[in-house]
Amino acid sequence: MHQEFLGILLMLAVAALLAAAVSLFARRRADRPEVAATGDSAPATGPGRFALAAVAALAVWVGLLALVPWAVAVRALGWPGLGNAVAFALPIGLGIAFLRRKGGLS
Amino acid sequence: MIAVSLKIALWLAALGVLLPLLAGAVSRQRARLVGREAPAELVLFGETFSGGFTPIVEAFRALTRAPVPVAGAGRIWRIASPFLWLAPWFVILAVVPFGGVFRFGDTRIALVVAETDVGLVLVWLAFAANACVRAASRAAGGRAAEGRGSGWLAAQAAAARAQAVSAAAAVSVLGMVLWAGSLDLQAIVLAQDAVLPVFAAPTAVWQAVLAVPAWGAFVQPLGFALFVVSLLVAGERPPDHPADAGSWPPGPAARLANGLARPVGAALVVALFLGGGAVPYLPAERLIGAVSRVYGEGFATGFVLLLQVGTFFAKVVGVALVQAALSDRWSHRAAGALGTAAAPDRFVRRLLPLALANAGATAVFLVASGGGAA
Repeated sequence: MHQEFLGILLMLAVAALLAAAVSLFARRRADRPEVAATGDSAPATGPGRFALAAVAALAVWVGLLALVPWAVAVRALGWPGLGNAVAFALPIGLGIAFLRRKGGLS
Repeated sequence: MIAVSLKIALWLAALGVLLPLLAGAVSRQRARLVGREAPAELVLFGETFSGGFTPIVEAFRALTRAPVPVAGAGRIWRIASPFLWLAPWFVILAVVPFGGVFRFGDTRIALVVAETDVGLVLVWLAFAANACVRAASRAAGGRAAEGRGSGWLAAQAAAARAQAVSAAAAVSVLGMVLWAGSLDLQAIVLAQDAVLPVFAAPTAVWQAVLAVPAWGAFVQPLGFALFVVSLLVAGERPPDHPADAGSWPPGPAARLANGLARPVGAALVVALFLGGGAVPYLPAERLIGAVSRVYGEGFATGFVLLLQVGTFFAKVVGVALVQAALSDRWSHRAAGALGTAAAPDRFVRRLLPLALANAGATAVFLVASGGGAA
């Protein structure tokens, strides 16, 4: 059981080592940062629409993950399972379609 | 522990060959497209190297180019972002199998770093994480260079686009999950090591001629096309980042991550849609049976294991080179037609609905016919 996580952890350790090496190497070659932050002006459209896009993305990902158990057993569950999956996905799909129609994803 | 380390070493060695090879191919392709000569010289310790060193030169230049300064990005983001850029791709590499499962007496060898039955969920999470890092990086860079308001705007565009593309990539493989009945990438690869039955073939000869491998590309052609296109679009320069506004992605770790995206994406395409390390028309069991009659079972198993590893990486190189060529031609054409090197957003927005429609149609077909690999 722990073997699967050991492989992933070792891969993450390799990624961390590589990231550190690349950062150190690049920092030695880079010039001093020249671009400074230019003030804290108010957002032009505000984070509200950003939150809409984020919620839509979250809905897609959560919907996808929630459908996974059904997807693995689709044949065993048959038509009733398919009906349940559609009943679950339909409100999420309609919500995203409504959001898109209102310009929330543009 | 030793076996896992050896598998990781194999991946790193493969990446060590693939990354310079792809960087060189991309450089030559771009040079051809814009009508200039590819840079082919490497100056090290006062010595100039050229010719066959071109791929190494290109990889070295890409990695050591000075990063775009992001003074307003915050210290924590600057320290963490290199790891956050690279980690998702390494998690994907951990769960992508580069061959099947073999037995030497009582010893079982699975050609995958992390043998997990939820590998595809980890791939989806890695896609989502990569999309978030892209958006956060764009926000940090934008806020530093253009002020907080522009940073938010850029982040909003980048987040929506990155999430749409990565969600489309994730949904486009849902058809393969339905068909194989598993989230285990190893199981999906093993399910493809077969030949699809041919119906309505008049004779056995026709049946043999018409038979195609049970690869994902044949059982899920639309899912395959959408997945490849999503990977191509994911690596592109965002539309709000014009070609003259500095390098994309912004920083050496991000550039390395973008370089990794091609071989890792190609490895996923091969595992999910091109049979992994399987040799077409020659299932591993039949091959081991044939070879073991002459050389014994141990030799036959070892031979097929090496054959599958070689076949897998050969397929990955082929897919990565095709992807690189397609991506550059597409970007070049888009740059000429639209004044930007990015795919039109109208096209990006159609990926997710198409992928959902494909998954729905696959589910209806499987329930109605009772088919599939599982």
